[in-house]
Formats: sequence, structure tokens, C-alpha cells
Amino acid sequence: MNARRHSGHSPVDPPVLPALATQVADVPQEASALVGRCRAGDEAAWRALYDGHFDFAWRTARRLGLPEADADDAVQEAFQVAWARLHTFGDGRFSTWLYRIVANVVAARLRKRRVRDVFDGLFGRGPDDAMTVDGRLEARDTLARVERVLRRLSREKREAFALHEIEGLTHEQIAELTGARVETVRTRLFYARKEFAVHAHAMGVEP
Amino acid sequence: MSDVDWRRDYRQATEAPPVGARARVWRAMTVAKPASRRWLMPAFAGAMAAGVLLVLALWPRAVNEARAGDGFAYVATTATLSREGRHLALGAGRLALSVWGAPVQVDVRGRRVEVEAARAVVEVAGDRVRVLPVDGSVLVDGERVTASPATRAEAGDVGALCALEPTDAPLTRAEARATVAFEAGAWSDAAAAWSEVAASSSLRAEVALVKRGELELRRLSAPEKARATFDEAAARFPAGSLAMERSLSALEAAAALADWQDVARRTQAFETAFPTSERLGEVRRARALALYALRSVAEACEVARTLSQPVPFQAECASHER
Repeated sequence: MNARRHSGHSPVDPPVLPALATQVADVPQEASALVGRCRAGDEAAWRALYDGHFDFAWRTARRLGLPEADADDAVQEAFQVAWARLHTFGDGRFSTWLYRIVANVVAARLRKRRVRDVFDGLFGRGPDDAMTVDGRLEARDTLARVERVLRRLSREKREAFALHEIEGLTHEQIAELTGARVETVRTRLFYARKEFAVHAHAMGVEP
Repeated sequence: MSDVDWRRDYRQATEAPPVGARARVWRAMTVAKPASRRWLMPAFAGAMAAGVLLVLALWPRAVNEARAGDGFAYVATTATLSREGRHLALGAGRLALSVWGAPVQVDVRGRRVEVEAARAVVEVAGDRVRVLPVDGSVLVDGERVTASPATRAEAGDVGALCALEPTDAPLTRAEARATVAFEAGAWSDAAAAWSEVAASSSLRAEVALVKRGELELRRLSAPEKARATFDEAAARFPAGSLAMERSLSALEAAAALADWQDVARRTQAFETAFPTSERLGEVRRARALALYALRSVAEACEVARTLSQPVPFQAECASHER
């Protein structure tokens, strides 16, 4: 299934986000320096920043429930937004800032996808019926079913669930990444698990 | 599928992007700039919305509308109506129209209704067009249709229309109607229109009375009526601005009736009232003739002596003096 994938990754930055950081080059000083050069119009610095965070952005998009077919476009859009708003980046961690952009882009795309599914339903073609033959085959995979369950959760619950259950982050790390309070993250996670269990059971995934 | 299974599978499946994805996205990002076309969708939506609004604004709708000004007023009821200056186009419904200024044209289902100094109701019911003058007359495709008790009854209540008119609109309309009738040679209609104005308490009534009297005297060959009209004007407006003209015309009416006694009396009254009038010579001459007709030859000759032009009975005066 993952024959096309490669495993070439950038250096690591372990302190705050252990699971994500295993593959993210986000040494704060290095990233800040690159951002500084980008702001001065240095395209080479932007390419370095892009190369160092592409895998992270792509993985984030996928783990928040975005289908593989949409992932490239979403990552492209996220980097374009990042480039346009680079002047708003402050002192924090670049990967945290980029994560929020990717999460926003993913949320917007999943919202459009839900609307499209509703329209398909109006004309008698439910989201399942709208799939191609390949899609139908793929839907049998666990991967596709998990994606579909994730897409059914609200943005906040999906983020809390994916970051905790799939990425393995702690409540505190999720709070830092999403900008929410730790108590809020716990609550979201509680309800996300319940909701995931209901949808997953209906789709044959054992929660 | 166990708990461990799906998490492990999902992590593995989403661990890394496909080979070449990074370079492919970079190329797409540096070549295509989707952000630059972001204005397209809002612009398209805006253009569509503007188009819809324009169509809605121009689409003929049945309206209830009342307007007044510029010499005409109208009340439209469940009508599809458009207006451009003094040109109305009625598609459906009922239009009650009052015109006291310049003419107004109404196009209705291919027919042309011209309204001047009149009140009328134009109605479209199904395929049928009805033009009902309430007051005065209108031209329908060039053919004059005049108000009658029947058309008034069919037209129904036009109270709302009356409320829109200025208070002197009926008088202005009647004056305009009198002028139109006069120019068309419809002397009786003109006199009737002047009577409407004369019936009011306005100062314009004096002018209307004189105009009516002139019509009766010179066009309708009714000197008796004319004299009565001039007398009415004198009674209602003794110090009116047309007193001298009215007195002269009354004199002419009396002469036309060969009422010499009356002519003599009126000429004397004229001389007293307008001793400096430039028409005094003519009035004296009329007095001399009237006295002669009354066989008061001496008195007639006495008046004739004051005239610059000789009178027909000049020889008789000469022998009378001898």
C-alpha cells in the first residue's frame, strides 16, 4: 500500500512534540533564521524551510483525515498561506505555527467535502455511490474507513483525537499546538472518543 | 480488526508523502499561483447577483402607485406601468389619470390614448382595454371620446385621484379644455368649459364669464345670452379688471338685439364710468344712432355734433337746426 513512500527525513527536534518531531527539522534558532532570511526575500531560505517542513505538513494533513488525493493540494495551499503571512510569525516554534495553518486548510477542505457530499446526496448519489471503482476497493481498507470516521468529527474533536490517538501527543502538547486550554483538550478528547466509537463501529472499525 | 491494528496501519499509511510529492508541490507552487485567481469566484458571484437584481428591477410588476406633479396626476391599481416624462405605458391593471397641464400619452396594448385637460380611467381586463373619460374628452387612436354619465358610472370612484390634484386643477383643466375646444371650433364646448370656470368663486370666473359672453355674442349668435352673461359679470365683479371690455361687449349685444333703449342707457353709463376711454368716440356714435332710432332726433343730433365723423342722419340734423 505504501510502496510509493520514501523515508528520507530531515534532522530532528525532540523537546516538545516527540512523535511529530521525529521527522521535523524545527530547531527554533535555525527556523527563525530561515524565516528572517525569507522575509528579506531570500528564496533559497524559503526552499530550505519548505524542504524541512513538507513531510510534517503532509503528514499532519493526512492524519487530520484528509484523503491522500487532496493532500498535495492542501499542503501547497498551506505553504502559500504561510509565505503570504510570514510577517505574522512571531517568536514561537515554526512547526506549531505551520501546524495551525495546515489544520485550518484541512478543516476548510473537509468542510467543502461535506457540503459536496450533501449535494451529491440531494441528487441521489451518496458519498459512497460517488466513489470510483478504485475508491470502492479502497473503502474496504482500514485506512479509508478511519479517514471517513475522522471526517465525521468536528474540527476540534478531530484534532484532539488524531493528535492523541494517532500521533501520541500528551494533553499538554495538544493544548500548545492547538492553542486551547488543557481542560478543553481533555473534554474534546472525551467526546471525540465517544463519537469516533459510534461512527467506527458502524463502519466496521474496532475503536 | 483490533485496536492495535488500525492505529498501526493508519500511522504507517500516513507516515510519509509519496515519492516526488515534495518536488511536485514545489513546482506547482512556484509555477501556478491559485491565489491570483481568487477574485474570479467572488467577481462571478457579484456579476450574477447584479444581473439578478437588474432583471428583478426591470421586470414589470403589478403595483399600486399614486403620483402627482408637472400638470398631471395618476393612481395606478394592480397595474404594470412604466413612465417616461409625459408618456405612460400600461400593461395591465387600472390607471386613473387627471391632466390639467400639457397633454399626457398612455400606450396600452398597442392603442394610444391622448389625455389633455381631462380626467379618465384606462383599464385592462384580460385582452380588453376600456377607456372611460370622467371629465372632458380623450383621443383614443385619434378618435375623440367624451365623458358621459355612462362613462362616469363605469369608471367608478376617482376620489383618490381628486385628492392628488392641486385645488385649482379643475379650473385649470376647464380653462385648457375651453381653449382646446375653441381652437377646434367647438364653440358650444368652449362656452360650456368657460361656464365651469365661471361657476367658481375664483377671480378667474370674471375672465371666464367674459370669454363665454364673447363666444355667445360672436360665435354662437346668441346676443340675448351674451348680454345676460356680461350683466352677470358686472353684477359679480362690479370693479373687475375687464369692466370696460365687458361694458363694450354688452353694448354690442344690445345693439345686435336692436334694443335701442338699452343701448342708449348703456352708452350713457359707459361715458360716466369711463370718461377718458379711447373708445368714447365709438360709444357716443352708438348713442347718437340709438337716440335717432328712438326718434329722439334733437338729442341724437346734439350727440352727433360732438363727433368728428358725420352720422348717417347728418342732413336731418342740419334742417332741424334751421
